[in-house]
Amino acid sequence: MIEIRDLKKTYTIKGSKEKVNALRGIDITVNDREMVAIQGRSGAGKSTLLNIIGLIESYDDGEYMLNGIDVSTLSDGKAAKLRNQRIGFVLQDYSLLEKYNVKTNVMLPLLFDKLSSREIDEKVNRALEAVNIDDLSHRKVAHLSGGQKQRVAIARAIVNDPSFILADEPTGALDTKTSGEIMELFRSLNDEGKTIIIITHDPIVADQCKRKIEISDGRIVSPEQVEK
Amino acid sequence: MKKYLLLTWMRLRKNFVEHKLIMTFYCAGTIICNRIFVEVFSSVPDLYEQYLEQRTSWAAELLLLKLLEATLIYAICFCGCAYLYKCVFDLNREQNVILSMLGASKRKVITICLLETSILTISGNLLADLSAVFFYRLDILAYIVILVSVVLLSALTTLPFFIPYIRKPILDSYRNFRDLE
Repeated sequence: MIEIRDLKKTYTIKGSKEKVNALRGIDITVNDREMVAIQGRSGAGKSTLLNIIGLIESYDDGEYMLNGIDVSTLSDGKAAKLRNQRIGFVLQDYSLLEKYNVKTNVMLPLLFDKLSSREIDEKVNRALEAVNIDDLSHRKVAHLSGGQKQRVAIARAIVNDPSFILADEPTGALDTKTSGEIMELFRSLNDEGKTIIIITHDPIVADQCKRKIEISDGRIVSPEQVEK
Repeated sequence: MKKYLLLTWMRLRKNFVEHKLIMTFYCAGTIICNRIFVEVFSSVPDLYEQYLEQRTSWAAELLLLKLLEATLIYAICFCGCAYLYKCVFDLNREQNVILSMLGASKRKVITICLLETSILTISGNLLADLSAVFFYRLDILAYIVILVSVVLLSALTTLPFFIPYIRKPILDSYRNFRDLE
């Protein structure tokens, strides 16, 4: 469960002393097994929020509890471990190592854990099967289509069996048909019990989530909608 | 350790494939640094011995000049290495961000960066010294001395890593996830 209260984040623009208030007091609660869309225009603060939820960025003020743990008390190592085991990321540009094959990319999060080669192989194969690309395991990522790359990114995100999947514009670089397939994949992962948070500016993508939250200028502008 | 080495190997391969020029400069720079450093410093013991025998101001000046020359050359090599390190770390910025996103702590990211540069500097120095053994047909004692120099020089050329200017790109890329967007 994610509980965020009065979260604030300010950036200082490089090369000047000008400050940007990316988040100006956000309150959000995301329950387990939810599928939530966070909508907003470019620069609204949605990616900042996702990075904070994913323990990538720190915040200046407020409270963030992840599964009952006060995130501000975590050391860098503990935050990294939590990120590795509980959170999976899916990004618009896939963030894959293009020169390597699918299997190597998917196994990356497992290299930070104490697992044997056999356990790593089993987990990778399971993740690839879950996203229906087990036949591509030895193909180089650079040779895959956009939809296939996003499936690899999703496989990498779920390989450690995390509770949360955070997706930042996951269909932003895909055509309509492939977007639909990827959203279907997210829905099935949600049905299996994963909590999914999707950042998007696309209303069609947001409509496929069970709940929508709209952000503008670092604030929530629409009340959290009732779960469908 | 095996997994760290695997990650380091992946990073090295990626850098050599995608950034051939800068990586070639890096390795060539290490080899040249090694040769200049060894050449300059190798004459210092003889000059010192000469000074002890003669005790003249001329011999002292000569020794001092050689030491100054060696220091200056080391300083230039050091700055060169520092700059090249920065380039290598800049190349890895995106990969550092991906690794931290996937659960690598700051310590792990820095360890991988250090392993990468250490492998590059050690192999560069080793190559330079072994080629010297081959070309000058040195005896086994010289070979041992050279191996020790490889370790010492590699340690010396890793020093720039401890300059904040060099560490900054790694830490920046770790902290600044926005670089990826």
